[in-house]
Amino acid sequence: MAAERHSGARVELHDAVRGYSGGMLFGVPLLYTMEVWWVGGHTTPVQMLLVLALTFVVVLALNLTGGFRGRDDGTTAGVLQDSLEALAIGLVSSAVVLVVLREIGPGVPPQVALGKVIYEAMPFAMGVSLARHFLQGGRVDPDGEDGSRPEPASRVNATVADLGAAAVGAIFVALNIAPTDEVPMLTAAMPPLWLMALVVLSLVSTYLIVFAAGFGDVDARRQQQGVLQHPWTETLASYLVALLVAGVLLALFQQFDSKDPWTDMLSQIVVLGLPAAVGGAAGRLAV
Amino acid sequence: MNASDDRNIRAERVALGISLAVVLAVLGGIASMMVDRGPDDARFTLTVADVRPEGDEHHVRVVVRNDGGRTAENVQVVAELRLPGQEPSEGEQLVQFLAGSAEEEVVFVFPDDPTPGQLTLRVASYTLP
Repeated sequence: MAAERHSGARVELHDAVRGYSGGMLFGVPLLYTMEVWWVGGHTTPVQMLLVLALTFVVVLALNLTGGFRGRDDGTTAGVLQDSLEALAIGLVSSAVVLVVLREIGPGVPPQVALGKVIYEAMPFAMGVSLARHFLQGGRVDPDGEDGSRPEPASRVNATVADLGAAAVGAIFVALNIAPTDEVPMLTAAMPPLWLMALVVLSLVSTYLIVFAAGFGDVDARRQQQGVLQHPWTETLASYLVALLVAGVLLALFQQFDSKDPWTDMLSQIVVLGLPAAVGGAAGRLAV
Repeated sequence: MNASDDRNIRAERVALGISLAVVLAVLGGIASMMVDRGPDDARFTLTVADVRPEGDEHHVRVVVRNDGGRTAENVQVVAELRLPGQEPSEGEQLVQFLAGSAEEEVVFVFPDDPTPGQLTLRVASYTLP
């Protein structure tokens, strides 16, 4: 009875997590684009309404073909409801990430903050609507046909596959952002407490994407045995891989060198670590 | 329809209500901006926040505020310090992007203490987006 009482809320929460995860996968690159921050800053109210309306229309079209919920609801009311919720998830998610990146906050005029949120919510909301189509491939059942535990070699292979996929995914996303000015710009305005918040956001987001959003075969992934295969251990290890990738890419594109203070280097690595970690999560889902 | 279906429907309605509230809040924000636009053109206020000695230099922190409604880009801020018996010292700062009602802080560095002198601050130019 208690389980039933909470099942409706749990389903809604799960759907929201799935939507948020899809939104992050789509929206993170544009979150690190200063031109989008600027255009949000000098947008008129009419333009904001147009962008919001366009976003809703696109989300509606996407929900007609799939959506972010785990169930199919073909009614018009259901599609409209899903579209409204996808838009709301996109608005709230982009606002939260922009706050953590300190692009909006107490010192930012409300109209500028609203413009930034509305523009950044576009790819987020689209990602929410595409969430159910993402990365449906899963991990091969680790148990043998007779239900025996996997051989030690396959357990190591699973760890290597996870970390390798995390690295490839991190490179795929972070490579587009590392050479740009956004990372030093964001770093310059980020005190240590906000960097810690960014670390927490990175870990929580990647955990949600891989283990809570329901992409791929989550049960098989959770049951995976071996080194660094516990969900939170895998999340942490993959995040460290993402940070390593971020550091290498920043050094490769000369965003810092050995003469720079280590605090500045670490800050830039953590800032680029969020998109790298999200890319790594997408990479792990694909394996 | 059983009790479980009732609870599921209730949860869906709560989720819909929250989503509707978020979207209505955003629309309300846009509507209030339409009503309360304020002056359109960019207008600037420059205020000295503090003067801090750093070794042989003096750092003057200035707050540049755009009191208008329109965003200004490439805002050029010029500071001129005149001290008795000395040649004037000048400093220049460029604020890349200053939205309406937004403010930025810039710092001018002078070799002498500006307190006994006359410090003139002005915005020399800006670009319309």
